[in-house]
Amino acid sequence: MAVKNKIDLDIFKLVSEVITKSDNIDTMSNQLTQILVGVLGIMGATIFVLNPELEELEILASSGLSINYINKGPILVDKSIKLAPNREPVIISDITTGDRLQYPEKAEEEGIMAIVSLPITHS
Amino acid sequence: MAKQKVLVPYNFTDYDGKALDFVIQRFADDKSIEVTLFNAYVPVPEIELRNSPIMEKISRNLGFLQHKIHAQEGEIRQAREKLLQNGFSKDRVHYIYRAIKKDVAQDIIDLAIDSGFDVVVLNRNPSKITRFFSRSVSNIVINNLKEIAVNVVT
Repeated sequence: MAVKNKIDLDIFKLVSEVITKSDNIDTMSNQLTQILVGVLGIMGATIFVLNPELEELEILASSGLSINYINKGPILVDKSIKLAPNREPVIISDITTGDRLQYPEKAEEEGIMAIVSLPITHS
Repeated sequence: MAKQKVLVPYNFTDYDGKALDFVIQRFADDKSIEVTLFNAYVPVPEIELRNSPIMEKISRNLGFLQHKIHAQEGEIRQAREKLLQNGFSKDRVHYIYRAIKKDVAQDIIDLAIDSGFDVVVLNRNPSKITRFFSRSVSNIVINNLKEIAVNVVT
């Protein structure tokens, strides 16, 4: 395994602590997004939950992003980051190119340059 | 005449904006009403540095995030400003912005009881699938507050 692919044990312990320490899902999910921001050195992170009836993504927790950006409007599954049918990860390395975002101008205003979307699924 | 204390939990969403509009319409002209906006944020987790450069880097990044959370206080000040611009005097509008102690619902309940609030104004976000994972804050507050009026703005 290449060095860059290894997970630091301290980081693994930190994530485990955050997940197991809180018995409240709001605190746990918010601190998980905070850890993601801290560990990855990224601008922000959000955990969405899919509402299958409305076909919308609802925010469960978010860190690092502005209130204005979070309140930008409903996030429709069909119009937001276009998910692959089998819900694979989607990487948009440059938000100014392509048409894969529902609110590209809002993302640009926020100063977002790239987005990684990782579906959390269960079988 | 003793002032009536109104607690307005405020979480920066459009639904909270509606609750604020309700407070303006209902209470702005009533000089006996005092309003407190309340937000409890989730603080960044404390981490042990363990003499690890990686943990130190994470700590720095989390420090930046904590700074952003503190800067968010400006948003609740703006909400206060909206009340001031719509008929409330400065001595009638306060705000509390602090780290969460237990959970949002319990913090609202504790504050309402401990500080002697007479009314709590909540809002409800319809069709929230996230309630599947966590109980509705408004339901918990309604079920646990006795002798305190709770208004739910929908």
